[in-house]
Amino acid sequence: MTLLAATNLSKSYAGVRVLDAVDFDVRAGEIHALLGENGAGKSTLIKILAGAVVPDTGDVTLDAGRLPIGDPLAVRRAGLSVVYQEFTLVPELTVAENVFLGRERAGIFLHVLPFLHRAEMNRAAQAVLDELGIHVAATTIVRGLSVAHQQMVEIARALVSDAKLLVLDEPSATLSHIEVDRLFAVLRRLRDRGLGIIYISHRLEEIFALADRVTVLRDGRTVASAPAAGLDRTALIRWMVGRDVSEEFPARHQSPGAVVLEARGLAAPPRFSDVSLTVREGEIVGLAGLVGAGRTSTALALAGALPAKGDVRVNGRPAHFTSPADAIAHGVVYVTEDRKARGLFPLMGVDANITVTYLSMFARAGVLSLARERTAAAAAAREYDVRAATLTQPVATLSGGNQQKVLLARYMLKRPTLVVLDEPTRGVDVGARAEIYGLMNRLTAEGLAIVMISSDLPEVLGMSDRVIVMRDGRTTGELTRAEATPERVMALAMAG
Amino acid sequence: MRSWLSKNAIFVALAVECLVLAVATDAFFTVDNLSNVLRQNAFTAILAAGMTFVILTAGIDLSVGSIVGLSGMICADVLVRGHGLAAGVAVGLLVGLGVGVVNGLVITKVKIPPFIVTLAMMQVVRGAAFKYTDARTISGLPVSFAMLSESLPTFGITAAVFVLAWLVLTRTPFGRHVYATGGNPEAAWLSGIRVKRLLFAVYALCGATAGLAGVLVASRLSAGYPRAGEFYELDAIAAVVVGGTSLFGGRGSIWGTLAGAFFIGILNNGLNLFRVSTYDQMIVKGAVLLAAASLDRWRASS
Repeated sequence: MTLLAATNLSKSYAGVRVLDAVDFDVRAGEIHALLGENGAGKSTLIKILAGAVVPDTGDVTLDAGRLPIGDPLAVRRAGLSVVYQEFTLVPELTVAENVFLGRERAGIFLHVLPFLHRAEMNRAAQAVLDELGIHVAATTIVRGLSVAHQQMVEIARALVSDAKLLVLDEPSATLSHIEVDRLFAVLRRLRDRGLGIIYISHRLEEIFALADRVTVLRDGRTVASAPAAGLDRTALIRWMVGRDVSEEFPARHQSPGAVVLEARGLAAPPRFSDVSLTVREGEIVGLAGLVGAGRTSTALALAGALPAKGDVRVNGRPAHFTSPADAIAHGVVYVTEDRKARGLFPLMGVDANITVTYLSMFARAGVLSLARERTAAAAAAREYDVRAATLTQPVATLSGGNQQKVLLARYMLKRPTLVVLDEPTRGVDVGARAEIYGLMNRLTAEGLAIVMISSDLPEVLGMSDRVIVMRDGRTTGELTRAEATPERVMALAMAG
Repeated sequence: MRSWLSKNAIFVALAVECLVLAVATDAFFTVDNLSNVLRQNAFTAILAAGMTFVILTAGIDLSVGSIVGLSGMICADVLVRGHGLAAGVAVGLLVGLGVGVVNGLVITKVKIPPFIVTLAMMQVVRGAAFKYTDARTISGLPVSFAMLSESLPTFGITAAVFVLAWLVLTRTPFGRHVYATGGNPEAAWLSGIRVKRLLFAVYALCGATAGLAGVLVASRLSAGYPRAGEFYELDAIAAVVVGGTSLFGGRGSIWGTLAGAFFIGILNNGLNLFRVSTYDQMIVKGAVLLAAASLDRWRASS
């Protein structure tokens, strides 16, 4: 039974056709995956469904009733809820308060005054959580919850408003494998209850594990819509990219050189307590582990952004960086996993975002040569294939993949000794991912050492020369490329 | 077109304002009146120049008005003791710098929000200005000192301050880092900007410009007056905001600040010429600030 039917949706921004006569439908009791490269139109489609964007043409019906266009609150009330990548929770409030945010159960107490029915809301919220199989007390403050649990609170919020259709935008981006499995269990339970679910993700193995049907968008058009069973990876990629991206991970011919970084007994409790690793010139060392294992904290410590104890040597010499500026000056750089919040400067253009770290390169006697800066930024943008109409355009207008390349270009402007890439392809589409892998290979061939933190197991296995696994703040093991298998990595990453 | 207008709104507004006044009354566009406007608003403009740096980092400095008082007092004292013009001016600047340094240190080391730190210093410094002479005005300053606040020197000093500020903000790594730190402090830290050092420098700089303004005010009054500069911080902040710099940091221009300072100043001047009461002028000033801040939000959201 068709739950949601979108017909002939089109949208243009400043003459650019972002969606072109897109038809899309979701059945009740179905998990429908929506795939497409960045710029394919997925987010615009979702924003139209959610009421955040008004389409130029087209209609959407939900449960045979016309879905209000351009009115997010009405859409929510009609039964369509979206769980975005950036959560909309209030960290200082409890789970129950967040679940009922905006639709608090209040009433006349003894017919005199309006009071929040706190106990009732707690009970109702707890009931939803228990039903979803989530072991969190409704009275917990959201700030203390893990990202995975916060996501569950978002889902509970949607359910409490009697959602008939749930849209999840890249929900697994910040989750570990166990948490993804739990999420899937919840989603399947919801589907079996009759909910329709739209699931957006770049992770193809998830699509195969979860989806009943798959729709692929490319360049604003629907290029394919089919049951998931019987589809294979190559077909999906070809639909998404329009060409055969046969080798997702380019071949690596590594010949590692001298040791550039050596860490022993690195500790910054409670985040991590015992980390040891070595990295050589020209090597890619994958740092694997579950979310919360302490990988990003380790990276921050190496990059001088987190005070830590222990023995660290860079090129043989003891190094204890007190700030990222210090580390950068010694050739150790860290590229954040959170481009938007901690990497890019949204108010600045692409060029300024590229040159910011090594800006003094373009200054003579303290005065900047804007011309030299512009030339260097343009050269870097070309070298890293950053696709932007003009270099002065605000960096926020670029796609995720191009933004990631801007960050790379920034830190590579002056070739460092070691770069730590934290989730370098998170939220990046297949085409741009291949480009970033190619860049990583080229840079290591030129002698750069890379530590790559990744929660994407295929990526870890496909790109690393060696895999170091962390668990609960400790390095638990090291595997060579030949030795590394998903089972071995997961065994080292998980307890028991 | 819309983005050009959005970026240059204050300059257009200033031009329109001058045009309207020039047409509406003969008294506006005279050398006398315009030089008065310049002399009256130079102090605010100079304070606003330093304040622009601070607000660009999403900070605030409420102590500048009090610094004007204290630096003017100590400068006047130095002059009255016969130490010469250069010494007086230098000491005034140093006093401002000193307070700015204290602000910077407390903000970056003790990590209290700038609003609270500078609010506290506002009190401390004003108290010190009063205590310095037990609330007595210092008079009997040399005539050569009073000449500093004549039209030409005032113009020269203000122009020099703004040109220097413009150069630093747009043509030095430091200036670029100011914008970056205001735009995204976390990213600034991770991208290798020494944020603590930068913030310290920005507050020291703001204090120094306040010291300069204090010297000029003392020159204008030809006295060290403990209450000098009272509420000047509000005018300075208003000038920066009206000039298009966002209170949230990362966006703005020094020329916008200059235009903002004179937009408000010329507005007051116009209202004076039309004999609008002082109280009505205050209401107008507040309304303009509100309108400018709303424009800032609209610009940020579009």
